[in-house]
Amino acid sequence: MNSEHFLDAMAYIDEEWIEDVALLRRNPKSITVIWIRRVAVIAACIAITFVGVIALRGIFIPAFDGALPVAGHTESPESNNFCEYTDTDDGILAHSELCMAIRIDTWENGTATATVVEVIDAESAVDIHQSIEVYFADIANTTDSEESNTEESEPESSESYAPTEEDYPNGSVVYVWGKFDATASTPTFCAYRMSTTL
Amino acid sequence: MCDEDIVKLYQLRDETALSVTQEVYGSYLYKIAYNILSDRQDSDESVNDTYLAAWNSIPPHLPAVLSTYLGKLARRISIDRFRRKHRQKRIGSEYATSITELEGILSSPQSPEELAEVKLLAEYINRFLQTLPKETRRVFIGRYYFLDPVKDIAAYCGISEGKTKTVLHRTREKLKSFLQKEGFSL
Repeated sequence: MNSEHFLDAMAYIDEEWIEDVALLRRNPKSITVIWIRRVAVIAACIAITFVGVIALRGIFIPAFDGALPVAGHTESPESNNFCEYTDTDDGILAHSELCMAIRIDTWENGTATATVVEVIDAESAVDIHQSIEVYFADIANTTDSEESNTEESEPESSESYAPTEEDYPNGSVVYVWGKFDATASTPTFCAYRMSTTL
Repeated sequence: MCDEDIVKLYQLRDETALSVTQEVYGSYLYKIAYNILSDRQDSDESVNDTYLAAWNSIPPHLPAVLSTYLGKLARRISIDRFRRKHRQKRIGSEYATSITELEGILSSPQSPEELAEVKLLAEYINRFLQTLPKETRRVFIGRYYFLDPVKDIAAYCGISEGKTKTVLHRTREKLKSFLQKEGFSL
């Protein structure tokens, strides 16, 4: 056979393909559209990479975050070098890592079992309605009484204390600042500040 | 006017079918003819012959896709015209260029037995085309069915001329090994 036979044979190829190319010849692909698609694909790749990095940070960084040494920190007695914080002049800790509204369910040996009501100002691995253990390693005294319902008062003392069931009875909703204890097997929150107001 | 309506005009033996066909598909058929003949007058004559062939063949033939049917007629008529006029001498048309390109893989001299193989060859070409990615198949059909210049194929496929040439070269090589595997003597 020779090349002329080949071109003759091409006349018998699937008509669907012929029509496809005929259509393409009538409506060529727009170069602009092609470039827009290419740019869109590149942008999508960048976005996916960006989201992936953020997601990986979300997974890995919190695990290390608490272990990083912070100047002037006080170690939590229960958790190895985890619940660090820095006292400031007004008694409020310098690095409020995570603020949550919780509803205290029960108290036991200074540790509260609570339900997460809202995560206020940071990303967290916990969900709303999730049950967590909350211990108060070293609470700065910035509480205001629920009875007065006033704005957050000035700290009375820089000394720390651990709140009890008398301060925040079961069912009360309070705001806590602190960090999740990455070393604990169950969701355990190490609070360094608590208040009934934000 | 849609294809169905035009075909109906042919069926009714209404001569406006020819003018409508010319209006709708005239430039499409002329392009096919010109790719093969590279001559305006010859191309015009081929296109006119195509209208006549369509008039004579519809009915009984009722094409599902009129453009494809007319395109096939125009292609065949133009190739026949080309062969008649340039049996001894190949002019610089896209058809001649395509033949030159294919001589690298299909170089045996013509024989009556091989002529009989054309339809069989078409079957294998269909199988081969099925294995190709869509874009490659489009480029290949653009080049060897429509006999379009590389530049035009690159433009309507939205790829560069260089890529088009590369795709064609690789596809020809693949075709060569495919046909050899299937037992064709090349």
